[in-house]
Amino acid sequence: MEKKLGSQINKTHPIIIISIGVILFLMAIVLIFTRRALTDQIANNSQVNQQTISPIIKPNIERFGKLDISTPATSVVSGQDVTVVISGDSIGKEIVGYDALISYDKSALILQNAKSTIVDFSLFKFDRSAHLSLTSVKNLNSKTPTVLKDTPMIELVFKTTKSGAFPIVIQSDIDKESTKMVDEKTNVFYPNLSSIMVNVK
Amino acid sequence: MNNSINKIKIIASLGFLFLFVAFLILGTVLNQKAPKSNITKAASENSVDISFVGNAQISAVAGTTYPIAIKIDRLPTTQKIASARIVFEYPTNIFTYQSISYGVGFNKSALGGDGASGNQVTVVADARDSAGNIPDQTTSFLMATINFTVNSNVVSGTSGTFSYKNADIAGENSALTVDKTSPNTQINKTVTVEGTNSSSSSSIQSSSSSISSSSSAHSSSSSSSSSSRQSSSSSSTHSSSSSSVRSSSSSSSSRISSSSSSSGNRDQSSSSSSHSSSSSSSSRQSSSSSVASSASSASSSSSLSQTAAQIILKLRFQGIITEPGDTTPQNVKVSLVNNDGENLNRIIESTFLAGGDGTYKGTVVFDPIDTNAKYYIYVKGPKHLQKKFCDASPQLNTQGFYNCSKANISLIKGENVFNFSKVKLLSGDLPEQGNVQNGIIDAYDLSFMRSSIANNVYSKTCDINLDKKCDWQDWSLILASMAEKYDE
Repeated sequence: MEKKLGSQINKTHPIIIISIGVILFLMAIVLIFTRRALTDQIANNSQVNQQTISPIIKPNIERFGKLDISTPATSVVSGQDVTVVISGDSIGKEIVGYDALISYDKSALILQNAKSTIVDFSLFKFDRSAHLSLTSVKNLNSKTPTVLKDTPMIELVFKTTKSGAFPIVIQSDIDKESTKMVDEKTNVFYPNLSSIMVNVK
Repeated sequence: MNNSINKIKIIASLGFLFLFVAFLILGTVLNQKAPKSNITKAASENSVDISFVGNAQISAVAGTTYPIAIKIDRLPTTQKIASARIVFEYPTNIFTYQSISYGVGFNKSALGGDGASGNQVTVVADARDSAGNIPDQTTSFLMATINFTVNSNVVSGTSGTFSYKNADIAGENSALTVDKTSPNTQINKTVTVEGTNSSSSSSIQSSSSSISSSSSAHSSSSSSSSSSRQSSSSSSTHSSSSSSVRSSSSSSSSRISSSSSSSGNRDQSSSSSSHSSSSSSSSRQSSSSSVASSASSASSSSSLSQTAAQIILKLRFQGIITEPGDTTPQNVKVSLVNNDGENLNRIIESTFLAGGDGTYKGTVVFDPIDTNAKYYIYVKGPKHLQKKFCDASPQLNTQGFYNCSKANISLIKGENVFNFSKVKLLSGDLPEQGNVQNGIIDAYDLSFMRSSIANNVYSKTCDINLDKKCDWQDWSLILASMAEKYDE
């Protein structure tokens, strides 16, 4: 009887060993699953963070109206001047001032002149190291309403110095400055922006 | 028999273990499939973040104005805020509540209920216009600024906490909550009293002038004369390259009265302004306005005597050549930068008082300072571009400009008196949302000025020469400042 029981106990040993092996295997699978889940969660979290943080760094400003940049001749010979016109649409709003930030390759294009093409607006230009900052305001004594409807606002003349394709871009924000329009009630709004490519041969 | 029982026990245990592991696997798999991020997003879509904008160090001088602005980050909600009632607690041992000024796009609610009670202050803002519409709102904005003054009995080292308590915020479609778990939300802001408590006990009135709240409308008498001074019609172009400082523009009003005297144990300025006179009777001029200090933990490079320096500044604002009609004390920001370019977070706002000669005098305290270092002093007026001073006695060049590049100001322990009044602080960087200046003169500043003058609306913001009028003189001054446009 004792011998029989002893042999039964001996027979259970392999079962226990196999079972423990299976459990360890299953636990390893659990660990792998858990790790993968954690990794996914971290990835998700970082995505969520990006979604919430990035707009704060560069807020999605609601755009209203537009500033278009265009040139009569998109292709010029090096050494020639190229004239660029910025036009605006204020969608019915009466404008009394605006800021425009223009970036371009200063090694290829040299600003010769900048002038307001809207009568009664004064234009102040600031040639910054990396961009051109333009600020314009309506003259104090002007009584004529200024509502922009694809209205030419600024004329810029650049001298081309080398061949290649060079973009001229109206930038939204640079440092503390931003491209914006201000209406007669001093409401600020941010127009849609555009750019052009100037080909210099 | 025992063995068979043991065998059953072992098999049962193994069975339980199998089941446990199986449930673990099942749980993990289900957990992975659950749409966690959606739940988070759904919760945050109806919430906003709130934080405070204000100095962590405050002046120990009684009466000094301490503004703290309430910043709202609307992300990620797409709803605009219609109205908000937000309760804060403030340290009554340090502050006395003065007023609330609401940011651009918000007004004090007609329901009332704003102001202080006990240690709580409540902001009740409403964004709706008379037709019930909510104007466009940016994603991040300053809703209101709460103005306090420093109590008379505070001592250096005292700390207090300004904290968010609760809020009822109505979005355009549904109620919004403050997301306290957001990293952008700031529940508490601790402020520490620093510096010397001098005895200027007169209550100094806040001179803040929010753009949104234009004050009483004075009829401008000068609009008729504007046409003769303004360039008429046709577009004109002005250009500038941004380095030199003008000190030429002027306006005139003719009130000449008594004036001030400055005393100190070391007057580092050699000569006074040509406009100054020298009687000493003005009582308003008698006390230093306010002393502010900072306590940056950063220390300057040399290790020798770092002590407190009281800097008494005499300034001149563009367009003010005699005692101004509006003698409201002006808030001026002063910062100290050492010759290594380290700012050390030392930007101090203090009130400056007008003198009979049109100059303004005020005091700031920096502690600690390095008496061996050379410093730049940056000064920014309430409607002005920031100006950099490198010399204790700045001199204009032959063109009437002052600009500098090398730090050459030494400070000593105790009083340091500097007369910067030969150099005019150019105006034009007007305060915007929450009384904040953006460091440039932009289309907003010009348009605000133009609209005020064109519509005969007086506000302290557009009155650059402080003659209690917004007219062509102010317009000329801001146009003259466009030669500079940027803070130095």
